[in-house]
Amino acid sequence: MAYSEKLLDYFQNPRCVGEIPDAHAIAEVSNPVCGDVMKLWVKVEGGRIQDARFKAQGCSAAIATSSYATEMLIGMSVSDARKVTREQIADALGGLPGSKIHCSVLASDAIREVLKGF
Amino acid sequence: MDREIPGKIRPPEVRDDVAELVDTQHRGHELVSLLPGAKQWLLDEIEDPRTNRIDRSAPCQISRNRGEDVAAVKSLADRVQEKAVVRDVIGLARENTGKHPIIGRYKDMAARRYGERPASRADARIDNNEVHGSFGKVPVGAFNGERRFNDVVRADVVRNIDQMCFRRNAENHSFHDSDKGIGKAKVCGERYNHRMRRVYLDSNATTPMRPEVLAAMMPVFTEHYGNASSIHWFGQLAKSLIDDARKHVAQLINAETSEIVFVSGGTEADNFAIRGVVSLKGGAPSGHIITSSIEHHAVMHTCKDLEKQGVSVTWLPVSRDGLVDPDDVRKALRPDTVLITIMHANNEIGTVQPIDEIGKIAAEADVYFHSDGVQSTGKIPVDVKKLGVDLYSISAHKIHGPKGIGALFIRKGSTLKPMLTGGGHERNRRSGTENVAGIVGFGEAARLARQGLATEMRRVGDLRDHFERELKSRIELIHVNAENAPRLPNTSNVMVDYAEGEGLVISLDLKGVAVSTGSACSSGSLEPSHVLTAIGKTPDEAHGSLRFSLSSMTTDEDIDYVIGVLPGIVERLRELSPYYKKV
Repeated sequence: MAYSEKLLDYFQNPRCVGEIPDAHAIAEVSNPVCGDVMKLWVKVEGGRIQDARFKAQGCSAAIATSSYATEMLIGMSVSDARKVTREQIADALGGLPGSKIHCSVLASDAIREVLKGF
Repeated sequence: MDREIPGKIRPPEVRDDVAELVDTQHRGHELVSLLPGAKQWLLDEIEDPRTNRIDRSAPCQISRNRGEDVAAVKSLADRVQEKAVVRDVIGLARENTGKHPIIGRYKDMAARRYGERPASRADARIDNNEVHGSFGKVPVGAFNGERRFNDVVRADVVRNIDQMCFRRNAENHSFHDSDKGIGKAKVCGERYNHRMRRVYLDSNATTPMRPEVLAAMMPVFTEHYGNASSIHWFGQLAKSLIDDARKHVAQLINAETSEIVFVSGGTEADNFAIRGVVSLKGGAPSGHIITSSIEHHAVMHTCKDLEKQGVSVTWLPVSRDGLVDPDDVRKALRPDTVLITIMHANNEIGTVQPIDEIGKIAAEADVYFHSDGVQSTGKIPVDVKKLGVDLYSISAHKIHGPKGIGALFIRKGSTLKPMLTGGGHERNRRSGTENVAGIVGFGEAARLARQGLATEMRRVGDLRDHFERELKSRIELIHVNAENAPRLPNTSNVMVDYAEGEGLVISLDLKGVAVSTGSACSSGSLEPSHVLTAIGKTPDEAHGSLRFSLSSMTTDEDIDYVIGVLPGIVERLRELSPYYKKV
């Protein structure tokens, strides 16, 4: 199975890239399997994620899932965001090839990590 | 599935049916007289009250003519082509009319027996999710999951839009066999752009076959199809073709013809050599093998397998340049050592090992010496006599020959336990009817490789050096692996800091450039390349590795194109990295 066009689009034109200088929380996670890295910045107000930005160093699947997850976060309530699973992220991008499923873990880990304090 | 056929647009399935019929232009006879199933299918189609798209008289005509009148079939096909098919493609492309559920008849198509062309080529990189190409949405749902057909439509639709000449393309291309259509439908997104420049720099994975090689092979499929073991004319002709090819393969590595055993490829050659030696004594495999830590998987995993069966294996380290120290080989020798197996040139970083020195050590110790020469053959001069090897593996598809054929050089006087027993082919060393076409192609590829070796490989080496110089001047924080070691002239392995290899490969692919990487993220095993690890690279460093491998078919323009696109790709990925700070 190859990458979906949606995934490639998120890889080629990632949304929500950058840093938030006055972020309320920052998380940096790395994938123990392959060494990919994702850093996530969020602003949370009233139990809702107002803004989110990411940076990532990794393969196309890691970058695409990171971007998609970050975009998805904006406007979400913290409790809903905590429920986001890697399957949801992967499925939204048209699924991932078997050997690349672990790449979507990066994004879901980062979400859980960044929301720890809320 | 509902069958709802709009008035104006006919179901595209007709097209494939018609492609089948067009196919019968060449096989009218077979279709009618040999294939009762096919005939039945035609009749079924005609009697289907819901379709009514083929003239009722047509199959009668075919039957009446008993297949002799090919024109009858042809005219039938032509007519349908005009009425339905061309309109379909254009309709889909222009009007994008949404869902038109169509029932694929493929499951019933007994008639495909002779014309069967599975979609295997497409399966590699195409997925149904990717059909939303440059032209918005092609109604995927309509095609009832029959991939072979989806791909044809997709390819043509995009192509038509690309070239802005709907009608002509629809007519010319829509009737190609389904597998040809699939060939055009590359992969998703930008990869649909058929006019994109394509640069193939993955020659250590495989090479395109030279036209001369294909030309040499073709008659073997059609006319010279004899079994080389047969004593009649057909058989003897096949045998003489094999003899001729064997001569060319032998000459390429300066061996005797009797020392060449044809096998299915490099992997079989490696398995045969290694297992053949350790099994010589009979009983369970035993003894001690000396090998390196940067071998190709065909050697590495074979040795690991034997290790589990009781053979002891010494894995020699390599220098930071990827070289085995012959002294280490000497020190590793034991009384029970039965085999030394060290590759000639490495497939990932291209380093060339001091095989001749190790050969002397093996000869002194009277131990079998095998070398995997799959990457070196055809790229650097190989002389098995000077190298002092007893066993040497080579493969055709790395030197612009066909896949599925290779050879093991077995020095005269050496014995190996055969891995395949049977009719005693290849002087009892490898049974199985010879792959005559493959062998002939291998022979021609070997002849051409030998002819162009000196001049072509000097050119390729210069091109590679130019490439590396340019990359280093245009991209900061980029390193060439094993830069100062003796290397294959065609291989360049670089490491790009703050970028990941798989992402680089996909980005390059979207620009039409095919390369590979040693990054963990691109391998099924999720481990970084064992070669890069062995030369002391950390997993992080290996993360950003890229292998460019050229061939005699690589042009200056190819290289200039890559030099042009790579800096932008690296820059983009680095901007995404949380660690990269622009200096």
